[in-house]
Amino acid sequence: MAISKRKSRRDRGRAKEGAALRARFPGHRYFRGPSRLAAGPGDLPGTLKGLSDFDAFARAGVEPVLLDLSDASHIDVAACVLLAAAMQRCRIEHKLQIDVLMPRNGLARFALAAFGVADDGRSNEGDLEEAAPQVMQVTSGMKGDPSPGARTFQVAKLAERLVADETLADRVHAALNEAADNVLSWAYGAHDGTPNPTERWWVAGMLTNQGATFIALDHGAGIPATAPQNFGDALTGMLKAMIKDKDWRTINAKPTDSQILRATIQQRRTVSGLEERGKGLTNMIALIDLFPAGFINIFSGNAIYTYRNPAAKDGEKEHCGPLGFQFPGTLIIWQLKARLSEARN
Amino acid sequence: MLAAMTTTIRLAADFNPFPFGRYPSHGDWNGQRFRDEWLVPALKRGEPVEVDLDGARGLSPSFLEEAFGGLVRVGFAAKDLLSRIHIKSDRDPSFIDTIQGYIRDAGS
Repeated sequence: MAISKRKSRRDRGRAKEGAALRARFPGHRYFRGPSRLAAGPGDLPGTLKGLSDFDAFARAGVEPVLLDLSDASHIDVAACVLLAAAMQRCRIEHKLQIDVLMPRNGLARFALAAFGVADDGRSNEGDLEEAAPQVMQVTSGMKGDPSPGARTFQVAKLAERLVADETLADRVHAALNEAADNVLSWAYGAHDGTPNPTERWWVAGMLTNQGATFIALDHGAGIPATAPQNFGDALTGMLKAMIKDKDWRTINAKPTDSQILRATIQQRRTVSGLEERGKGLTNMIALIDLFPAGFINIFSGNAIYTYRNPAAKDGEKEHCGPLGFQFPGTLIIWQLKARLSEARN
Repeated sequence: MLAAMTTTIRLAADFNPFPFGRYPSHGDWNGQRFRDEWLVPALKRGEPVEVDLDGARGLSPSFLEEAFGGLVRVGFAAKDLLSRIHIKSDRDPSFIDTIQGYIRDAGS
C-alpha cells in the first residue's frame, strides 16, 4: 500500500514536471541525456553512444529538441566539447533548435555553462569564448577562417595560468595550432578548399587543480584512414618493418587502425626527409615531456594511443592498441600537471 | 653583427602575431603566404635575411615547415638558405635548430 502511494506520488510529480517542461519548451521533442558524460577510455563508448542516440533522435524530426541533462552527475571537459560539437552539428547540418535542461549537479552544470551550453540552448561562439574565461576556453573553426591562431591563443593562454613560463604556454599554443591545422589538411579529405561549416575543428582547455586539460577534436576520417594515403611509401615501409613484432599480422593482412596509428607515430619520430609532411604529431606528443607530469590520449578510428611523461610514476609510458569501437574522427586530450612550486594561484 | 644590407622581417609586426597553418585555405596568416610574400622577395634581392620570431605566438611545425622548408620546394638551394637566413628567436632559441632542420630535410 505504502509503495503504491509512493509510486502514485512519484507519477504525479513526474506528470507535473512534464507539464511544466511542455509549457516552458512548447513544441519540443524530449530526449533524456546520459547521466554520465566523460571521455576516459572506459567512459568514452557510453558517452559516444549517448551522443549518437541524441544525434539520431534529433535528426529524425524538424521540431526543436529539448535535451534533458538534469540527471547528469558528471561531465568532464572532453565530454563538454563532444556535446557542444554534437549540438552544433545538429544546428548547422539540420537547422535544428536544441535547448538544454541543465544538470542539477552543480559541477556538471558549471562545466556545461562554461562551455556556453545554456538553458536556452544558444551556444554561439561569442558565448563560448566569453564564458568563464579564467578557467575554461573553447573555440571552433573551419577552412576559410581568417585568423584561427588568434582564437586558439585564447585557449592556450590558460597554460600561462598553470605555469609562469610564457615559452611553455607557447608550446601548448603550437600544439593546439598543429592539431587544428592537421584537421584542415587531412581530416575531411582533399577538395577545393571551399569552406564547409560541418568540417570543423574544436579546441578547448580547462584549468584544474595544479593542472590543465587541453582538447582537440574533429569529426573527420581519423588518422588511421588518412595516414596511409598521406604518408604513402614511408608508412608502408614502417608497417613492413614492424611485421616482426610479436603482435603483428602477416604481411598480406590489412593493418588494423591501432597498427597504422602506432606506425604513423613511430615513423614520424624516426624517419627524416619526409618532405613537408609529418612534423606535427611528434611535437604534439612531445609537449607532455615539457611538463613535470601528464599524459596525452589520442582516440582516432578504432585506435587509442597513450603517452605518459617518463618522469611520472612507474608503469607503461606508451601504449597503442585497439579502442574497441570506432571513434568518429580524432580526439586528442592533453593532461598537463605543473609542479606545486610552479603552479600559479 | 649582420651586414648593413640585411633585410629584417619581424614576423609578429610585419606579418601577424598569430601565424597559423600551412596553406591559404587555413587562414590569412599561413606559412605559404609568409614564404611567397615576405621571404621569397627578400631572398630574391640577394641580401642576407634576418627573420625575427620574437613576439609571434604559437608557431607550429606546419607553419614553419611550409614557410622555410617550402623555400627549397620553390627553388632555393638548402645550402644557400642556411647561409643567408638568420633566425632571431631570443624567447625560444630552439626554433633556430628546428627551422634549419626543416630546410635541411626539404633539401635532402
